[in-house]
Amino acid sequence: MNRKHTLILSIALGSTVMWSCGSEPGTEQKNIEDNQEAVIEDVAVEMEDDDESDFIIPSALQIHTIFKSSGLSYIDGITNSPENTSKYLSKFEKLLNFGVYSADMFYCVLNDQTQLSTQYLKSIRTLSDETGMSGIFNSGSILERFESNIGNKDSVISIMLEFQEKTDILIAENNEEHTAMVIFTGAWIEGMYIGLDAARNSENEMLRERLVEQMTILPNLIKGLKIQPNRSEQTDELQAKVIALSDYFNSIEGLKGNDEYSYDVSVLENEHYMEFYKQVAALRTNITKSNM
Amino acid sequence: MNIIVNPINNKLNKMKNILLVFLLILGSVSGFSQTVKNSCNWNETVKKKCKNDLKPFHYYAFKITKITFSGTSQFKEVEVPLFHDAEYRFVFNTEGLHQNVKIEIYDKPASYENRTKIYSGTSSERHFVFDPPKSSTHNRIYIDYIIPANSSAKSGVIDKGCVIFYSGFKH
Repeated sequence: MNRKHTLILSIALGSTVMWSCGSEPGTEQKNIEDNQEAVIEDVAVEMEDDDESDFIIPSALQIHTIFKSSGLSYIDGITNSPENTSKYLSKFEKLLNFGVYSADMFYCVLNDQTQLSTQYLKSIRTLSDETGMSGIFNSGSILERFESNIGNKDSVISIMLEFQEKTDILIAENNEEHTAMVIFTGAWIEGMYIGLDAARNSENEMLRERLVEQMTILPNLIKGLKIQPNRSEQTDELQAKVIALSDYFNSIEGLKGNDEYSYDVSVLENEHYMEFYKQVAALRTNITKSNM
Repeated sequence: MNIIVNPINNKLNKMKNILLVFLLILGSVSGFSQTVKNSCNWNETVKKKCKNDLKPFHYYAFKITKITFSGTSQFKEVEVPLFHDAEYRFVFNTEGLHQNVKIEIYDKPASYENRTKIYSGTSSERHFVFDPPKSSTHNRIYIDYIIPANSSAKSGVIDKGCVIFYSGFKH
């Protein structure tokens, strides 16, 4: 037995001893002392799961602020009814409409539609509870402060910013960046739907320019949809439609400038805005109707 | 007698073999594990510091960029979309990094040869604020993290950390 078994035993013990030497406890101790917040843990070595996105998700509230300052006024009945909240069944639908309702809420707040904006905040709270993000509302009583500050626009906007910040932080802390991308996709589509609806019926060049500026976000939306885990037909369908919109935008002759993000809006005609609207409206209908 | 003893010896040998194989597997698994030191430092104090430095800008975006130092140097680029007519503020907190990382900000991505550097610094600053000049914020800005090879890569310690990025806007 013994030569064979001694050899096996030596290898086993050797591996253990080698590991013990490799951990260099002295080094660890020094590092802990250097940083009190450091967390030391023994885990199996694995490759870094570097699935985080390489871009920052912009603020949906800022996008609405830009549209508002470019002359986008309030259009009664254009937003998604809060009564639809209970119709969204899958998590993907709920997250998309969390984004849609966020955009609607920002739009209403900026246009002094306080009653409706409160209803949207309640819809968002329902959807956040149902998608594991109740933490947004658990601290700081956002809804209560929102209701008690109605009439004070600056305070309400400040609470909206806090809501957005809490959502972003909760998502980052839970490594759920892909979730943030779905929410932002919903918010972006709703914002663009409202903006394009106004732009197709007017010659407001400033608003049109801002809408075209937003179209440059499309490559990041596509990247964000591509990184979605647990894909379904809904994800694929939405992604295909966003790609189609991006392809149409990129195919317009003379629009693209010297680099990836410069463009010449003077080449755009009414028909282009009508097509943008048509495609975005189809995307929006797909999202806001129940059972995508 | 021999007829009786041999089966017992065989059983004992089998048990020894099983035990040794178990030890071998245990030793091998242990040999593949290393110590992970995660210095990522995101807590209420850092949050307060970042929020305070954001003033008087409104909250715009937030990102935790995670870094795992390895035996080779690395490069990470983060794209920040910026919109017309707004001013922005970036707050960086690098207290969650144990090794020095270079931070550079450009007007265009790394794939462009003729891009302009807007800011250059290192994570040794620990916490700093940068307001990108409006003239250089055409639609996008790119934050590059140049991560050196891990100096303790050979000692079996995996060094992880993060950069906290907070940003604000005003019109």
